[in-house]
Amino acid sequence: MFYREAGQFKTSYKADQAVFPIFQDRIFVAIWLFLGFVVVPMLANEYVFRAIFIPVIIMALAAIGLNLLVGYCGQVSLGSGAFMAVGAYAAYNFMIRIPELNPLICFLLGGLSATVVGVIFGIPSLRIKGFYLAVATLALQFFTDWTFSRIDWFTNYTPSGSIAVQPVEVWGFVFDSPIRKYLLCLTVLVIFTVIAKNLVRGRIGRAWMATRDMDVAAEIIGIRPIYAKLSAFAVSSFFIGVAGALWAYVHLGSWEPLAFDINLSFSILFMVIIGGLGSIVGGMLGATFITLLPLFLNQLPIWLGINMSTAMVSHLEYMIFGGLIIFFLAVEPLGLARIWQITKEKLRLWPFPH
Amino acid sequence: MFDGGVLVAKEDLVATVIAGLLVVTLAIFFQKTRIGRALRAVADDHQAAQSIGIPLNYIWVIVWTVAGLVALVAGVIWGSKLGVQFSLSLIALKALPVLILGGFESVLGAVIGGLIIGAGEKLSEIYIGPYVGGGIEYWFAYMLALGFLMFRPQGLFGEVHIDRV
Amino acid sequence: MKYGTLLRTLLLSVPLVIAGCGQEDGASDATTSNEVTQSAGSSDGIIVDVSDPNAQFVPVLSYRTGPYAPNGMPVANGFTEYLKLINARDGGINGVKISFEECETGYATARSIECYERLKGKGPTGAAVFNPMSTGATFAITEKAPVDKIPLITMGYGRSESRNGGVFPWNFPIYGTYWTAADVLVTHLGDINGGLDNLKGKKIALVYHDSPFGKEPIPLLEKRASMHDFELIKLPVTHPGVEQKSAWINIRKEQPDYVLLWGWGVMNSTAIKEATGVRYPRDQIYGIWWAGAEPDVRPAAADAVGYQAVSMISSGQAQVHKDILSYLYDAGLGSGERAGVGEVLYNVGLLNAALVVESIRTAQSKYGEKPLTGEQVRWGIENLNITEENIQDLGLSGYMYPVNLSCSDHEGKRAARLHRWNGESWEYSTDWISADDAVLQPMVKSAADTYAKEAGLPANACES
Repeated sequence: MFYREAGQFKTSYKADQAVFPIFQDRIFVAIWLFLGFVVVPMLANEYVFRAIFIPVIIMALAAIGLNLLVGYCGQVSLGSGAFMAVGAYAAYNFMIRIPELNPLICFLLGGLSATVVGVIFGIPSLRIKGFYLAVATLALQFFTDWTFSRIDWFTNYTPSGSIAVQPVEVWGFVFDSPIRKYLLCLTVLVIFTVIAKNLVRGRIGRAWMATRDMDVAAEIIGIRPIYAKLSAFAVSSFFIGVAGALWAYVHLGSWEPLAFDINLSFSILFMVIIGGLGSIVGGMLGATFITLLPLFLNQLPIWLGINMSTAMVSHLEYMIFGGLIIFFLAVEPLGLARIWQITKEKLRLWPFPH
Repeated sequence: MFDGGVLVAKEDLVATVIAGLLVVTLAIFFQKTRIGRALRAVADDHQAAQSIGIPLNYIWVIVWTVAGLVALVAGVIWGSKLGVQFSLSLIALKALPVLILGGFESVLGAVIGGLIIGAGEKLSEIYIGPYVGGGIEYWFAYMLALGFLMFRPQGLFGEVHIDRV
Repeated sequence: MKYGTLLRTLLLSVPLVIAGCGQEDGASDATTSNEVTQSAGSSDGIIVDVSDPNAQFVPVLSYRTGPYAPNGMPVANGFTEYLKLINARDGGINGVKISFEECETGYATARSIECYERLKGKGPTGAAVFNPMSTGATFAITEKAPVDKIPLITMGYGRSESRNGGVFPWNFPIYGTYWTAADVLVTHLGDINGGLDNLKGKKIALVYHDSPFGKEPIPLLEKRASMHDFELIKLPVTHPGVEQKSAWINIRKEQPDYVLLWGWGVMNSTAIKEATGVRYPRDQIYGIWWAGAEPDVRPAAADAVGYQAVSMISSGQAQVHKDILSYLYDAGLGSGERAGVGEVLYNVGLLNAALVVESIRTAQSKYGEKPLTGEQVRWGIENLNITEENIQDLGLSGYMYPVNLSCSDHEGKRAARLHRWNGESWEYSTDWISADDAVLQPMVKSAADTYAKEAGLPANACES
């Protein structure tokens, strides 16, 4: 009843091809942006910013990046942790060695370094696909772990290998309070989401989707696999690299090489799978789910008044987490994005059943 | 301090014997028994196998059981020598490069792949490790698998996979 | 809706749950003290709710899961049980009861940060003091603590240069840092060879955990290696430390005279078993104090006899242990097993808690007998003055040492003893060995100055 398109006529091709052609959709997105930029900073407290919003936003960026690679282009990649590490360390090195550079530029340069690494390690995708590619990217993950741990130049010769960074300062404006960090991350996420959405609706995105669906057929109709696959790796690594730089600078503040290990790669992959492959919204939903679930499970026994040892809570977390992932994949393999899509479709018909 | 040149521990010998027995059992299982042949048929092509009457769900159960049992044996052998803790699961991840090296369809390939990776890891750590600061064994297995994937994706003993469009 | 698949998934998850329940490590049963209920016995006044406005809140970062759990559990038990004892036996610190909450970190830095953020504001005045229990987390929290004004006690771990209170006013590596420990070990090796100069030409291998914790002693050891002309062989072991065969094959190849073990968690027990496998004499292996505890040597049992480690504190029982057994365990409020009370890591946790309690007591002498803020407790730690009589009164004779900190020295003690595993228990094998400050002080100063420069801090806030 509220979500009908009745009366919304498009009079130009451009209007018809808009990202949100339905007026109610635009209102919905505007409300979310308003909530995100105005309401949350007024209402939330520091812990909620630091532990909930900022990690979710940065992980959403990384999940969108990985979704471009895995969901839209079909190249399985278990190396996202490595790309985040490259982004973080590159941003750190640029900031340390060229102090005059704007920190935001350093983040982008971190993303570009991740792009270079991504293209290099995407070369195997031209030969192999699916499960084999996953093992190849796993090699990248472990190799990067070792590189940042062993080669002291990356950590500026600190004896412990642990890096500590100062708050981001742009033209005298220091991003040290949680609200400022949150707004910075949110702005970056919105900009990058717009970029991603436009990419997948354009020629490149269609090339990716064609490669995912049947790469031999795509090659036959003229989509060059080297461009399609390597551009997917490049763009995806850029997103994940910037997310990594943000994760290190804004969220962690101080990290050691193990902060970007295989568990992070698996987390981001789970976010993409649970959120929904091939969907931008899916990346965000998956990031929210995976980041908040452990916190929720941790606090649940306390809210319910059940007295449990911390070890038991931690183990329960793992069990329920694994169980939920299996449940999701069995019941709704297309992820949370599909559930959202079904909701919207039902809403269009509401209050009628069909 | 060190008596003799080569040191072979009793647990390692027992582990080798057990592994050998397991390989022989699995090889016989896959080559000679009906169920083994059914498993290989399903691996080749699910639909064709189903169409000739092989009950797929039953096959899945058998496959997972056998895989679980073999992993159990591996865990017990490792644990008896070095102790059991949950982080042993990270070692299991190394099975992926072993598979790639050996080829997916062959048990002998898995054994040979395992030997190459196991020995290669430790030897590379000792001989190449000191020049680059150590810790190489962490990624050596995977990089080796990556190299194989570039030049011989089917592994040493696997069948070449032909993609039909 | 696919009810069939749903039902099947639920059925399949039952084994998961069963397997998960079987994973619970031993008899650990520490409770988060948010509820005032207990299984047996009266807990009135012993477990205090976090929301109590008259209680001092102490956060506890612990790890009872993961590869470091066997070592993390006794420490957490010792820590929390001492706090409970103070509530039970003394009625709190000068009448102010202690409320605490445990947060599971799994030894992961990211989770430690999340626990820090969650716990720092709890209680009427916020967290009194943090004990990160992990060097990696210490590095991360060191950045945040000055902003939030909460002190850190990093007893026996953390940044070695943080003993310089001028640059690190909020860090207190009381009773020793890794440079101190490494120096004590090198000095001991010199002693048994008839002098540090006799180390010339010897080979010392360092098997270390590839993390900030394991890398900490390397600068000191390299300096000593260049001073006394011995060869230092570095053998990193990746987390979690279960795969060490190549490190020990390397040792068999290089045949070093001594091996220093810098591990934590399952890495230690694996190391000793691997050492047995390559027939390296255990009495030539020396561990850091985190590698010298019962969980590390019991799995190897008789094979570990002769292994020595530098120790902050060894196993054994004093009056306070008897109090814990009678006030807590006899009332059914114990967290672990009775046999665990008095083991090495339990005593480490106990000592850590004793430092916290005494700091709060010292701070209360200035600021009054009420819940204090982190800043006030920091004053208390820096002005700690614990003498042998205080230790006797506390019932900790032999299990705590006199502490007298100052602004420039947050470490207090620069000596340690070595203890040796004899198959049944740990016994002290040497007398007190001091670290050489002539070597350490310049290193601490230069490392602290570098940090101060990078962080934009004043190089020596002590003079002001």
